[in-house]
Amino acid sequence: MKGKRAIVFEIERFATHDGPGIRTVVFLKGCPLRCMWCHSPESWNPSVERYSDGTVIGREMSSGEVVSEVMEDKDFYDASGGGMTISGGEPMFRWEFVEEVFSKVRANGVRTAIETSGYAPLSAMEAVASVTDLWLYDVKGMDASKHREHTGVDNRTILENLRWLDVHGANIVLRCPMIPGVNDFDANIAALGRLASGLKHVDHIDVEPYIPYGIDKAHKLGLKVYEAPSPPEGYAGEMVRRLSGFTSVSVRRG
Amino acid sequence: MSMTRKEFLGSTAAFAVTFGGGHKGMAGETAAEQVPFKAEDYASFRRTLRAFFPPGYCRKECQDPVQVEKAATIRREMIAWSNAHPDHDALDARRECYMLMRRHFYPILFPDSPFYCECGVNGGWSGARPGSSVFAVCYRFYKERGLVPDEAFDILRARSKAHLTLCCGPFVDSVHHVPPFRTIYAKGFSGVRADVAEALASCPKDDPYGRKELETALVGLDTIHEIQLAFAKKAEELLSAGLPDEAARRNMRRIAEAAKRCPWEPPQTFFEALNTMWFVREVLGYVDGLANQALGHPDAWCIGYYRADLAAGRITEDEMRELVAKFVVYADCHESGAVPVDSYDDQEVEIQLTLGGCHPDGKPVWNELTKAFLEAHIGCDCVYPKLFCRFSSTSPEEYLRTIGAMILKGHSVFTLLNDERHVANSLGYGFTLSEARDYVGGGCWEGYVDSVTDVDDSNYVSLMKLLEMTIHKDPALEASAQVEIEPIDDAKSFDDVRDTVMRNVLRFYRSLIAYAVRYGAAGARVFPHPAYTMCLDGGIKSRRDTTEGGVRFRPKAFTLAFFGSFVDSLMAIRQLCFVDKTCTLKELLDVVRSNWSGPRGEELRKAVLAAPYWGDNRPETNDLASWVVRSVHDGIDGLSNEYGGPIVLDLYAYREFMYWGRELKATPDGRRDGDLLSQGMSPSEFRCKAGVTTVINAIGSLPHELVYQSNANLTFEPSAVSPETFASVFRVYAKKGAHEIQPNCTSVAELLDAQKHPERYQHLIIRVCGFSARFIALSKRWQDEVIARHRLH
Repeated sequence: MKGKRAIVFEIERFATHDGPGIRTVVFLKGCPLRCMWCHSPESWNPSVERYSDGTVIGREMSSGEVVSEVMEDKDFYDASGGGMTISGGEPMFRWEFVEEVFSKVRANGVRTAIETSGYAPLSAMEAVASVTDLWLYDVKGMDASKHREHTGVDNRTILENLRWLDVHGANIVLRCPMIPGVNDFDANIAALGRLASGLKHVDHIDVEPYIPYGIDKAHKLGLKVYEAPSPPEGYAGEMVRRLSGFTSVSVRRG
Repeated sequence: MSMTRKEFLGSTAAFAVTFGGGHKGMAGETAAEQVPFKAEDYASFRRTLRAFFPPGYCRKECQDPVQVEKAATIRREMIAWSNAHPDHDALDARRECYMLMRRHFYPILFPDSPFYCECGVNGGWSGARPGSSVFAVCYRFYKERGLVPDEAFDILRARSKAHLTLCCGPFVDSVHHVPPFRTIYAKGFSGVRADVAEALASCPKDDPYGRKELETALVGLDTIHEIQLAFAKKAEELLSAGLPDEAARRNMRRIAEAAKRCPWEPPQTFFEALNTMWFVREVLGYVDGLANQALGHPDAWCIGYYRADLAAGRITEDEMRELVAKFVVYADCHESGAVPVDSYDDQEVEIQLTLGGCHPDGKPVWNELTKAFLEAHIGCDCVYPKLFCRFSSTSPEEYLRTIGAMILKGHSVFTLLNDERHVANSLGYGFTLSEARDYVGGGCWEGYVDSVTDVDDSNYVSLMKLLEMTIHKDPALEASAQVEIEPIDDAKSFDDVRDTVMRNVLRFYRSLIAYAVRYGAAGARVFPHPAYTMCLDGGIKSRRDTTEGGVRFRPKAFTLAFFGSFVDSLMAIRQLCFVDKTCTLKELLDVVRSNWSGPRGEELRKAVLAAPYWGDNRPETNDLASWVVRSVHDGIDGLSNEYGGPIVLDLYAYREFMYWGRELKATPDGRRDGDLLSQGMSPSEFRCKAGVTTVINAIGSLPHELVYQSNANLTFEPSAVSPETFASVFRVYAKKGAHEIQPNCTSVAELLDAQKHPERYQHLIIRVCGFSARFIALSKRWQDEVIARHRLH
């Protein structure tokens, strides 16, 4: 198989939560962010690695191999309005690969979505935007210093790239992870609402409540992630209600 | 209803299928908000019916003592008559039986039931029916008149006993029939009678047998008329005796009027059209001893009557919904729920109802009747009738989502028949396009064009027993069952193995076909169905009974049972012995023979379980699977059956995947002695690890056009699907060209909880195989089997 190569740590078929319809989600390894609550710390390291029990994480695949697997479910995408999604890690970390895969599947009539933090050079955003039908765009916090504290990086590039996408007419779904005691305070929620209201092409906002999937995985990798308190019952609904109070954009549970 | 699945399962909930906002009505109108069907509204109706239908096993007799006595009288008098007329033939016996029925038929009417039809025909089995007494008194002809030699019966018995084959009758499936609804809608029984009389008048003198068939049929048709009139008379008697409430009086007045005319004459109203389905099913089951009788396609066939009645003010929408609810509850009451579902004769009552699909002109069937039947089925908490919902890749979205929503509520009662495959296949067999589009569901998972096709579909052949005999060797069985097996031990290549196994399979198929051709049509001399025959296309013209091929389309199917396990076994041999060379063929066969024991037993079994398997959608597996289908098809293609019709291939088996598996020794797919086998063309439950799309893509790779009927029983993980995704999956499945899908939707956690707290799961209905049952009514071994199934997500 020809084409650019990347380390893929999971391909999820029949995925119904990462974009519309039935999709195949390809998860790439490598992420410049270190979100303290991360539920997939196995995606941080850009190389193939092993858990302490010996299980191998990731395999190198060419864009052709990925496309070939994605195309197997074309009938399902067509019947459901679905397609393929590339996620991570941070897929923009391997934006040339993403661009190549998306170009190939689009040439075969498959719609594309990317799930990203938006932390990438503008030139990369421009390249990928030309082959992307939907941006599932994470906004993890509006306060710059808190963002740096929680994710290890500044949010300035992220917000600039988001505005650039909006100006250029990209289809956007904002995804807001809500971590109890970390970013679920009023000021952040209000600022998220204002951000969404100020953009023209946000279809809706997905509130994504904290899930503690990353803890065991981090442990098996000798890493640590923050263990937030379990969200109380009704937390997601409450977050949806609160965020809805600050924006006219539709807010859903992701 | 915003009720969650969990709440619904333990509730006495009403059910209406809504998707946010109002229900978009048919023909672009928005229907008024309807009151959901509620099971408790029909509780008293159920009590009445349950007091009549058998309290336990479905094969037992209904509980009206007078009717039971009358049926026994018919059987008794038949035996006496037969003894007094030792030279009679089967048509003489049939004629006598018809006459006895006129004398002894005892109509049952329930004041709170709108329907007149009840002949005491319970379940899908003909055993105790008066019409079967012809078989009882003529069975001896097989021997006495030299129709079938003892030796042939010995071989048949040896093959059945060894679970090599299953045949629902001697050399013929005499159990599965579909009533001739379209004929009766078109011309009534009177129209059939007129055509038979005309044929009799012009019957050539040199065809005494044909003349006798026609004459007997006339007697049978007149008997049906008498039975119908007996209902009218009974209704009048009940009215004059005085009935306590107005609803009952209304029912009896309607019956007294309608039963004077219909279905001797074709139906004229919606009520008559609905009742005709029940009547035709029951009366032919009664008079001709037919079994496994389906109901028809009411949303397609009765919608015109309903709309005409509605427009003329003869019926209201609420009255229609009441009739529909009682129609489905009537079917559901045929089973009791009092015995655990475990063996063949418990709660499987074989009443099939077809919905959806398309009209003969190709327009989709999705209307107020479709919706009412679906909602009534779940709202009134029914397991029966079995719902055969026809679909295609272009079915209305709301129809598919409604089915998906019902499955997600834990109401897995569906056989979904793929119009695209069934219509295409029927065209290939010479049906017209409008006939092909007008098919109904029957049996467990089949589709048939009623009034044209008679069914001979349940002749199972166990591919896995043949493979077991190839590996484990059983010379005594080879001799008694007349099976010639070539060993594979010395095969030098995988192609050698594959070809040898296929030679064993084909040799056996050809032997079965030869026996069927030689002896199958002898059934006509033992158990003819003249009244039924004349209602089917070709019967009148040929003057030959359906049991000897008098009707227009009478294929005979042999099934490739346990296809998945068979493909897995071959793939395991290929991978371990010829690709990876993990072991020699001899080593693998020895380990299988020792039930995976010995020093390398576990190691090799582990390697087998990691080998390619049916359902993984790898090119090499798909190629082998298709090769199996194609090889068997080509090996028997062009052969004719005892009726002059084609030999065709089915891909299914019923509960045998458990029962036969229990007695089958270890096989190369990793099965140990007694492990279960695979169902239909589904992947083996203990091998499959693949997801939804992979399994469906694999199924899509088979040459379905070479298969007459098939089924796939697939279990979805509830968290992975929604009504919308189900709709999409169904559309893709239709495009893949397979015949049928039975979706289940359960999680392991939920089922384990249901075992602990059955009271919380009264409404959880799962698809077992060709039938559905309440999970809590299943015996432990069936519950465990359902729990062990692979979940698709």
